Amino acid sequence: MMLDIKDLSKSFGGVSAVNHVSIKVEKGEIHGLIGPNGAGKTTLFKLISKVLKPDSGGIGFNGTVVTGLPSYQVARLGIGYVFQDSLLFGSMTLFENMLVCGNTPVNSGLLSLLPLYQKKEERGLKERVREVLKLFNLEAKAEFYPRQLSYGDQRRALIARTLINGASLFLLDEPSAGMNAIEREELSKDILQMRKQGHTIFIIEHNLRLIMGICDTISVLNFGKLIYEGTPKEVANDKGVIEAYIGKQNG
Amino acid sequence: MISQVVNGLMLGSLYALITLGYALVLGILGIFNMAHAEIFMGGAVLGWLMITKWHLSLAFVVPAVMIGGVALGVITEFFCVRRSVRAGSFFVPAATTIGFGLILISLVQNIAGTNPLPISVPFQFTQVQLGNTSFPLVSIIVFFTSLIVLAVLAYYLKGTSLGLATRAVGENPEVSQLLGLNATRIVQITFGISGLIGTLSGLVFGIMAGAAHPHLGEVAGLKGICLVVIGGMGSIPGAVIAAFIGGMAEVMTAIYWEAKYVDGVLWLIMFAILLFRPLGLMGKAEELERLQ
Amino acid sequence: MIEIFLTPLFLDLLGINILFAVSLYIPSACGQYSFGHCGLIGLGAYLSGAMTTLMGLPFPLAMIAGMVISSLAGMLFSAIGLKSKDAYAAIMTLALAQIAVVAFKAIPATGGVMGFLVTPIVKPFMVWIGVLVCLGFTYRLENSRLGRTFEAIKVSNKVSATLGLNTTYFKVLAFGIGGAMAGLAGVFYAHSISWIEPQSFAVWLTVTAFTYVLVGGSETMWGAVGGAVLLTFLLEFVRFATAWRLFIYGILIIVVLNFRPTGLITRENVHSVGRFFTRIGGFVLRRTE
Repeated sequence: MMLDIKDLSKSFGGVSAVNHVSIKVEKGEIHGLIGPNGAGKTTLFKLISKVLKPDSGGIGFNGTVVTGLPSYQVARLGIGYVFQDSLLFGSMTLFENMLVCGNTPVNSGLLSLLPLYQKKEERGLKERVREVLKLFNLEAKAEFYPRQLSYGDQRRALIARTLINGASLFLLDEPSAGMNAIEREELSKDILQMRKQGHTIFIIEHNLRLIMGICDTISVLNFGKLIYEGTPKEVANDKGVIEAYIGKQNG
Repeated sequence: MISQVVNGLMLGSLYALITLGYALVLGILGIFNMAHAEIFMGGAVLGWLMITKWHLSLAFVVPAVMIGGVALGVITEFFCVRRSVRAGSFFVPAATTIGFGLILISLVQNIAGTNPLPISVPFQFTQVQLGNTSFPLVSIIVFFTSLIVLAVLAYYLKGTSLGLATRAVGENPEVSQLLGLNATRIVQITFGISGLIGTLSGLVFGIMAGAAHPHLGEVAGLKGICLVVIGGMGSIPGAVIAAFIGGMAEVMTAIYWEAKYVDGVLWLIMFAILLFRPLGLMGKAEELERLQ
Repeated sequence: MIEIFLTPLFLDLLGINILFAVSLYIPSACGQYSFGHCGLIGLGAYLSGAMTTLMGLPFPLAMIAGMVISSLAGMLFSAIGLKSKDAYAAIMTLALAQIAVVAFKAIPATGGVMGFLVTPIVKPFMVWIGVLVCLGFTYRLENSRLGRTFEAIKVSNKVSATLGLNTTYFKVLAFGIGGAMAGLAGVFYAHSISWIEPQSFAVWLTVTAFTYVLVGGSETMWGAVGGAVLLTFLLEFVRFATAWRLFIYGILIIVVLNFRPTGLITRENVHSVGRFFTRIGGFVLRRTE
């Protein structure tokens, strides 16, 4: 099992955003996380990527306990978080954006300043960047600046960048926000491609059609609590889930 | 006329050295390191200490001063920046670094006194002939040092992975962390590099001026901020170009206008630039997005 | 010992420092940091001093002129800087201060580098009336809608803008009000200390004021007041160690800002004091019924 969330809780001044949630994400699956607005989905992702510290509970990743680590170490272990406000670095070209990462054999510490050090790894990294860009159909735009790219391209580039960073578990937070139907189709295809390559994807989405179409398992949060978990078909038919989204029927 | 232009270039190269250290931390990371001027002064004082008091040879002094610079830079980061940057506004690190600068000045004042501390080096007064005029050798050294530092820094930022990581952290530390970059360590390294440039520049200045004193950095330090803005935040070459233009402008002001206006000229130029081209000479639009 | 604190000079200085601190507090309540505040105080000082001593104009006129000019200068320079971003507004005020000092040194009529003597018209009680008026004004400001707008902008510029607030207008306004107070402080300074020279308005003055605000407390005006009072007294106590003055200021700034980033007097402190007085007031009222 790739990600083991055990009894995780986080509250902000009395309001419980995440309430004793336990979820297991299996390796190689596309696991969805849905729920009405304010249910605590983004907070959960922030807890996993250590942008926020949990009040209680534990997080295990690939057998390693991750609970106490700072966010950059969690990222190096292989968790890639692509969140809603994520932006590509505007002052760098697309290619340079892809090169920035802390999880590759190319060191970004002091040692990397030694001349000729890691020249081979660097070439390897650049090759890999070109491959991934080709995979995402962004090769032609490698020298563009982010503001010259379409919104859909930018969002896919964000996922591509995390891929190069060597992430094996991807936390995608509403990746299709702001996309049109065609772009969403492309996104679905990209995500399925990633699964084919052996990566694990944990995805928050509001577009139910998208998420039902690609997920193996879906967890449903409401008011910070996990209220249901199952296959897309089971989730679509569960009364509790429908109520959470539409509200209790009166009378 | 030519000698005046050359004088301007010499002054400009001095400003360039000071500004480069500033530009790295201010332009790339967006942090106001007001202690940089005092680190510059520290380089000159270290020069006095090692050359005049301890009679050490230059071959030893130069690396020692560079190491001192790295140390000062790292200390600045640890005490003034690490916790403050998280406080959000750009100003808190500016305030703590002002405080650190005050500490440095008062330490030098109390230990070494307020009188100028002489520095003398064998080649201090050698002149070099160029056509009809002769120029001090030291000024020529300053000129080429500034160009070398510029080239090294520019390559560092564009062509090395650490430089790229530094630009990333400067632009968005949160996302950088999520990409696995240790933002704290990178800021620390950048301060170390900036400190190194600072003390080295101070040493060279001290040799050129023949003396060091506690308040050496103040006037030049503030002008460094001015020049970074004129050149455009985020652009290292821009800062250097601004420094050379600034040097020329000051020399020309002294000759064609009046000497007492010299200190204000750079600020007037900055005023005009912010009025008509807020990006600065070579600033990029994205840089304007940061810092609110 | 107490006699030192009761000299007119000390009382003048204390009042002026408080005024200066509060004048810096107002732009910072809006998230703006005026690096060049010393220039504004210098403008007020030089202009009013020139008007009373060199041109023989009446003091009230000079006082108003000093306040107006400082206010306008603050607004002009910050507005130009704000066209780009907040940090540039701060740098522009720094430019103002530097240009001002050069100008002061350059004008022969006001003595150039040597400075000049201004007729000492102002007595401590005048300074303190000014201080009380400004404190009262600031207190009203803090608790008004304008004050809350300033705070909203300070907390989040982006969000305030999306809520429809013209953030630039408010920031410039803050500089204007702060500038007027700084001008007033300068007017008082010139007419009590009496000898003004360009060097007294150098950057060190801004640093001092910032120490008052940041160490005293940047969340409320009481922080600025408290900081000014604390540091003015502190300076008297360490008269013997003037050589270490810079060192003390530096250490204070670093220690306080690292461990208590909002300063010594926080909003919580002010509220608890407020609650305390309310309770006392209620107690007294009940007893006198």
